[in-house]
Amino acid sequence: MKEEDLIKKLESARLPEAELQTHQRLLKTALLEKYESASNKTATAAKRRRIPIMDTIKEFNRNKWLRPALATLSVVAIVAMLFVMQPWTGNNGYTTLLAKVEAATENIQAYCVNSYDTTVNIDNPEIVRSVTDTTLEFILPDLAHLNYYHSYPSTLNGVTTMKEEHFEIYCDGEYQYFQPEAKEFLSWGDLYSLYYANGGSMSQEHAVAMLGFIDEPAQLDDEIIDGVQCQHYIGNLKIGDAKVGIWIGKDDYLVRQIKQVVQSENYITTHVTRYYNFNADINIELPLDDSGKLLSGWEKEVYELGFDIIPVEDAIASITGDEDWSDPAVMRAVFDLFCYSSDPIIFFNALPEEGQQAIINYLENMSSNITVVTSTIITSYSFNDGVLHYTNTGVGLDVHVDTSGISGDGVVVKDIDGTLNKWVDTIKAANPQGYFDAFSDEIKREMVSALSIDGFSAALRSMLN
Amino acid sequence: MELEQEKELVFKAKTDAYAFGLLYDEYYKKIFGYVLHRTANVEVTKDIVSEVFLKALQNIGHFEWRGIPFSAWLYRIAEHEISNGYKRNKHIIFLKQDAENSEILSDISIEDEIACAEAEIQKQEEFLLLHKCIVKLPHIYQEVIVLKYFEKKLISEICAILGKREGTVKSLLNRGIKKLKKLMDENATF
Repeated sequence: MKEEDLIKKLESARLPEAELQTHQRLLKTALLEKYESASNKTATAAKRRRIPIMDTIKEFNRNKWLRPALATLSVVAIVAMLFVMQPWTGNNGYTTLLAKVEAATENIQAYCVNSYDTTVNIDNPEIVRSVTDTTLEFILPDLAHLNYYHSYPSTLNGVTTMKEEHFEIYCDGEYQYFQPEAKEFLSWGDLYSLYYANGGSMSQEHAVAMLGFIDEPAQLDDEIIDGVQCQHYIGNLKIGDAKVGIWIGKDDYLVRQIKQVVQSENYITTHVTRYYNFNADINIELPLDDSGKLLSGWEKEVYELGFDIIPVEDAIASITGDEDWSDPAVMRAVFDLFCYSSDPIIFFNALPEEGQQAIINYLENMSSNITVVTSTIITSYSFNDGVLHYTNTGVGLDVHVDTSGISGDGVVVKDIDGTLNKWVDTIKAANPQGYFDAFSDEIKREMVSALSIDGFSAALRSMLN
Repeated sequence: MELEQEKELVFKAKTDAYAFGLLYDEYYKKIFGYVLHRTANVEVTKDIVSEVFLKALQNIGHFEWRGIPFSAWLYRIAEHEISNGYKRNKHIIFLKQDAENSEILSDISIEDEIACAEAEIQKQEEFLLLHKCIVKLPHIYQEVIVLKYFEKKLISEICAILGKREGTVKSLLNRGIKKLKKLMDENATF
């Protein structure tokens, strides 16, 4: 059958013309009887709270604590990166450019993205902390092939070696194909954006949103990226102190490259995202044999969103314009939407100025009011940029221990059991930070070094339990 | 109904049961038809449509007019119910409460109507053949194909219902047809 014939068949198909007049009548009666209680209850609740966005959050909160620690860590990392905003003063030429870039994405049917991230020590850039190299092939709307490579150092008794992980994932509509080692990555929920092919951190739509997220962009000389002459803009992100450069095709207005540099106290992370092969004849072959059966070593399942991530369009739709942005509950709700929407940048851009400011205020408030509480039970911990975070939401455990500026590189942990006990005592202490600070620098370096020892975290968890 | 007229009616329906009833009258058949064409099952359609209008009633206070037809919102609720698996148990509670209150929903004529409607569906062999293949597609393709070809919606209307851009909708249709053709070809082989 030809496609044209199928379309004719669809257009001319005689459809069943069923009617349930009794159901229509009785349902109407039932609904109108319920009208007073249902709509008034909703209206009263909405009036009292005046926070429709709460509904989105409420729905989301049911499951959000199921997010794995790594996903939480990624949000913390976003928050850490996106801090302190300066309002953008506006630039007509740049606004016109933004509109042209947005229009240029309309006709994209297929493209590729490569994202290359490196983190190095600030005082010794030759020491690479991690490398992530991700390549995506997209055929819109929902066919994708992801190739992921990650390399990172692992230290055992002072000996550091680089570990590597690599996997591939295919997405076809609601199905995803993966190898078992990719399971943890999938659990992050990051592939949500692939499923819908928009709003993802590596999509063209996101790239366009990044353009609108630059504060006071400045144009530099044109540069050639992948053989294409590009306009080159630089600036700082509206939130955070990340420097960003964007390269846009001079003739076709497609975003060709984005480079971000984020500097923390100890490290510099560089993200380079390249967009290429626009509307090329990309061939994505799912891991299936000729009979459609899965190839050995592959699994297939329906991609479960699980509502870990709020679709950005839903997050935007929940903003009615009637919000009281000075209300702390509204600030909290919009901040949650910002963190957990499928694309925080697109969400931020869609907010009114007061809403954007509410996020800034919340971030500032959060950074200056870190609370430390203690408990004797630990279920998970994460370590990022010198801040250890011990959490067990079930018992209200939320301990932060700041180890910034303490390097464990090259330090041999002589007594692992003893170091374990030092951490246990620290977490159990009435003032964990004070307890940790009281150790000598040598012991503190040993404690930090121990955290990178394979199996140490499991042993620590076991001892605390 | 003109958009301005509908806007006014939606505004009234937030506080006026009669206005909500008018919206219900306007859109019941359209939503029923859409769900029926998606599910090809009268019983399921009846339940989903009930759920759609109950949710519309419960949430109309939050509905913000943004120039998009009210029906687009109803289609989105319907789609959500279809694609996420409507909560049959919850719905049964709703119906039971009504039945206990008024005993009207146990009216035997509903059963008769369902039987007649099911018989009508079974007569439409071509539709059933198409439907059999359409339901094998991912939901997003089912949605655009049914809206475009069965419900005769314009691309702009589909964009409003799905909240997606024109290019995305066209792309979905294009790929959906290709996938459907493949399924139809396979179906013809067996």
